[in-house]
Amino acid sequence: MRKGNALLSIEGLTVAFDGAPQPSVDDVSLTIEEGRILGVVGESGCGKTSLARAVIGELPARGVIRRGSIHFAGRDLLSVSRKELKALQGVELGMITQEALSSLNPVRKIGSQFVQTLCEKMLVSRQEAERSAREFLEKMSCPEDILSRYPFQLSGGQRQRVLVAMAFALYPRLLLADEPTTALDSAVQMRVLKEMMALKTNCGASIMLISHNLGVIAQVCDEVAVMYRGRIVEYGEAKAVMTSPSHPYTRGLIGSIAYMDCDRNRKLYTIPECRDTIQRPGCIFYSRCEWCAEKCAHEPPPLRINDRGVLVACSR
Amino acid sequence: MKKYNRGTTVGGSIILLLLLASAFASSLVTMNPTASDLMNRLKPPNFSHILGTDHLGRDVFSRLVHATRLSVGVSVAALSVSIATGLSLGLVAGYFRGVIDSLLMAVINILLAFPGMILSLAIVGIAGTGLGNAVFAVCVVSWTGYARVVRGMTLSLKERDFVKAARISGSSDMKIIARHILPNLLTTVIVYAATNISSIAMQLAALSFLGLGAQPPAPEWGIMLNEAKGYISTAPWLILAPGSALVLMISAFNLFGEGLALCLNEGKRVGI
Repeated sequence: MRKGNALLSIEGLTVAFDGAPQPSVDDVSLTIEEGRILGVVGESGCGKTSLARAVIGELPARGVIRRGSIHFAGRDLLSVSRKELKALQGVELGMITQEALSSLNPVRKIGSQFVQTLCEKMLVSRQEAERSAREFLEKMSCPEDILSRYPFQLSGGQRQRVLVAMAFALYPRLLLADEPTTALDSAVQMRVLKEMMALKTNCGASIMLISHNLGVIAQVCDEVAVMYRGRIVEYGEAKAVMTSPSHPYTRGLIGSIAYMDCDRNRKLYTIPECRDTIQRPGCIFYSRCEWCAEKCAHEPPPLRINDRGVLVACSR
Repeated sequence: MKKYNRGTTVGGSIILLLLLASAFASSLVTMNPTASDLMNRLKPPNFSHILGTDHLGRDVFSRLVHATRLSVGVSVAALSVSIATGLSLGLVAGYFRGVIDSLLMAVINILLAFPGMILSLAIVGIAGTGLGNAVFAVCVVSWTGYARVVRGMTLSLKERDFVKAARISGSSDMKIIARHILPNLLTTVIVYAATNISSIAMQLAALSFLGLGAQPPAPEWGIMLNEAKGYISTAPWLILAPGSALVLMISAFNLFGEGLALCLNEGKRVGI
């Protein structure tokens, strides 16, 4: 692990929801340095979104942080006052949510929502806010008159682009991007990623990019954390993780990517289905692992650093 | 929204007419609505008194027009107070939940346990008769409807993604309520108000009819009905005039309210 100045450092974070048998984020520790992009991958329900929500301080109603700490730019985010948190949100901590399709107020025009947010958060004049709104929307290749439209007049992709533009226009120090490109075609996806890189290089912003798309992760991320059932199973330099994955789950994820030029007769690799859902004392991936050994069923694997400097939670 | 609804048009024009009548009451009729003329008691409609005169010889038409001002004005006042109270309390309770919410719901349930008319009779009985107290009593009964509707909608709107997004981007609670929740429930409140005002007008007329609201000799539809009921066989025009005025106003509000609900529902933006 590279040690620079950490902008965000999470230590042993555990987030649980009332009534759920196991925590959705379980003992997660990670750091994001200034100007770096961390990719978080994992299947649906593995706790990626809960992690981001815990960082920005807006967990859904029944979510509780059980243990751990979150430090952002030297401040303990779990003990700041609500007022301080509100001042941080949007300005320093930006977030693009997954629910882009419904994240805009249906009864207000795009322009009014966009400009008002900029005016309040950046303390700029209306004209300036409008100019910056236009500029960012243009970068996202949105049509000219989008500011005077209502959300229902936009397509899904356009709505998502508006939210991405809004998040970028606030120049956050840390952007939590929760699947920001899911509803977008690959051309627009490229633009969004390009803007993300620009935000990083021009403003030194750090980004936590949550995605299912391993191609995207490999392309833009400096580091990658692979999550499974709320835990980090592999965490390290993106290149090292993507080219030679050590954890069986990561290997499975990367192995199951289909390429245009792959052999059509060969069956695509799939990770075996989850055979049991009961919590075992051993490895959380045990029931789906093809390489598991006897001891994996009993003792949880420690998070250790392998020869490529990657943290891996696997005993083999 | 393009489609016109006949009910809304008819109801709306009658309401407009009533509003105009109440605004220009003094220039519309020259006769004093409270000046009695005992020489001309109980005259049937004629050229100098187009709706006849009552038992004290007062001109019924002039009383009717002036009563419009009082009835419409008082109904609108009671409506505004009810909306303001119900809306603000409903928003606060639905958004913040907790003790405020439990308290509010308890109060509302207690108030709803009594039939509205009985409750307002009791309140006027305790507070004393008079127009002000009658308005107060009607407000106490009708704000609960707004509070319940608004609270329920706030509860569901609060969980919508755009509210969550606003929260994540650091908007304060007050701003979220004012900019994201209030605009989204306003149409419902307007529709509810448009149908609710007729029942408010009726309750106020009923209280005045029972002698608990406006006091004679003030021109008011309820009072006029009360005074005319003794002459129903000898001078039926006395009861017909305020009675039809009341029916006209209430039907107009109902037509308008229903039409409005239809328009707003048809025009409701799809896909969100």
